[in-house]
Amino acid sequence: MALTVTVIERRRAQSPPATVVRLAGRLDTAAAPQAERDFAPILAGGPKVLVIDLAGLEFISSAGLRLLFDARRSVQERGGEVVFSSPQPAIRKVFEIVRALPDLAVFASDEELDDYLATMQHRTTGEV
Amino acid sequence: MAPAASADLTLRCDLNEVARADAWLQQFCAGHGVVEDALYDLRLCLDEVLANVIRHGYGVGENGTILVTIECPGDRVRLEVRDAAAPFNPLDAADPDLDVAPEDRPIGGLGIFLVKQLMDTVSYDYERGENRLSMERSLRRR
Repeated sequence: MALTVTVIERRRAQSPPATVVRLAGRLDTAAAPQAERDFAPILAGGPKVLVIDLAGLEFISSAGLRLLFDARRSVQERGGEVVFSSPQPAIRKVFEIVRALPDLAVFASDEELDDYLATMQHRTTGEV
Repeated sequence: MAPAASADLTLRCDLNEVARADAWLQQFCAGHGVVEDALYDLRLCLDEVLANVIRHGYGVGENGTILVTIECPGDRVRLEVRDAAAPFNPLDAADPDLDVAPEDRPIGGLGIFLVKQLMDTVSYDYERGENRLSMERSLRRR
């Protein structure tokens, strides 16, 4: 399965607005150039919170890792934050090998992600 | 003892060929009872090595031929990738510095590092005008 990239604007009570990029399929050498083009407008928008949803991602190679790391850098340079959610075990294994964890914020589930984003909201607004 | 089954595939120097190699690898492994974890590692390593040869060996857009061989000797699987680009030993590259944040690491080196971690043995030699990278992985290990 080739890669599909879906972008969703996420607005939930108790959480800051976030841009969610849902990746599904394979982020390999063949898919990376198109994925880079798909990411460009998202990054150009300078999201405050970018959630990269990995639940549907089945495969990642170093080209894919590079893309995700570059996206993170780009968002951080503009004062935003990137979080990753729901990686499958095979993807998590690759992240672990390159010791991307725990540098990256990776949440095992949507619930964990929600909790984190809610905490972030409190941090920025001082709401309790 | 029956000879180890093997297959080979000839590729052009073109990043689109990587997908064809992947389909070929899956087909071979399906017929040889290669478990899912091993197949995943093999697919990742073949992707990395072919991308390396195409990008850094021949160069994207250049002409060149890559020969891939797979065999299952005993409870192992062995992949060999040969090309006629300039001599280049990818194993000479230093491992990436994993102590710095992922996005601050220099470009490159990550793919071969993954290959070294996922395979049990990786070896390189240059002989008769060919780069040859051999990778082996046990099929017992998860």
